[in-house]
Amino acid sequence: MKKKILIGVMVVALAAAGYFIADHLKVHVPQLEQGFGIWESEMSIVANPGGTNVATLTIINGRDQDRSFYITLEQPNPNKVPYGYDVFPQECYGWFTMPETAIDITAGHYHQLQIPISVPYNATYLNRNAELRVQVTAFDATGLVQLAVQSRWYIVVTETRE
Amino acid sequence: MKKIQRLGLSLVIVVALLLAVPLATMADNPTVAITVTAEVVAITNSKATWAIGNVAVDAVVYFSTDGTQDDDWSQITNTGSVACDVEIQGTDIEGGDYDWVLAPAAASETYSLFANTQGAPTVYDVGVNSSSYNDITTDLAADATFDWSMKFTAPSAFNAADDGNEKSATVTLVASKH
Repeated sequence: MKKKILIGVMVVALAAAGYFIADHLKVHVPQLEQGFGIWESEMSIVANPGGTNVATLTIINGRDQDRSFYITLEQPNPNKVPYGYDVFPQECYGWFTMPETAIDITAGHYHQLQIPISVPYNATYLNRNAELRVQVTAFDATGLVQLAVQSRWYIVVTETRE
Repeated sequence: MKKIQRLGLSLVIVVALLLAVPLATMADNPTVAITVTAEVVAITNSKATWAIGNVAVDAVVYFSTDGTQDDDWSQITNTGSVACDVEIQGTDIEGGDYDWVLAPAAASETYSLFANTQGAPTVYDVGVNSSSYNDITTDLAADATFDWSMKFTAPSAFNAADDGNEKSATVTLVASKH
């Protein structure tokens, strides 16, 4: 009887631990009633030549309607980048591989873009800080005014090669 | 009793492996480190369309239902979780035989577009251009609203050979974290 109770306790403990861990690993993306947005307002990236990683950008579509989006890399207004930062040079856009440049999202859903970052080993843009904007634009053939949101990416490029 | 010990040991191993998964992921590819600020950037705007209709040279039309300067503003709402700046950009007007270029001042085959930063539009002080974004409002708090409008000035001369077909342009409002 004691063995059965102990086994039962262990099973319950295992289930509780599994639920706790799964809940912490789960993505709790906020929802929007209307319009659309992105979840990652800012991203700080410290990059070494030869380094790689993957950034996630979450596009949230509101519950009001289905939408189509396109995703672009944009340069910020030079007057608005932080002190000590450059506008990220267009010739380095190849460091980022956009998996999709256009996407449809149904009402009330979200989509996570996985954007691989790969800094060339022989990169010459080194020891600089720069800002890049990743822009998500909703396009509607009938609208004069279209809306877009940007994630501000602050990129610090070091000289240390891997 | 040994069975129970084995079961307990298995439980410890399973939990340890589950905990190790995110740590292993973090350790992967350490040469590009990414730190994310998870805040929602989102806006809505109350009016999307503007049917200007037929215009004469030098005509001035406002972004209101009847085209006059009244209190029929469009309204931006910050539906995100963080204060944001909203910038504006326009395009040339395209269609028919001849496009109209967007420029700071109307001229032959050239139109101008201005927006306001007053929140209650009386002064149209933000030039809308096609090559860069200009602020229309900054530090707009979460859940806050901003009333805005636009003023269109038609070209001072039209090309007589234009077929008169409908032309269209797009204005983009861009929100980013303040």
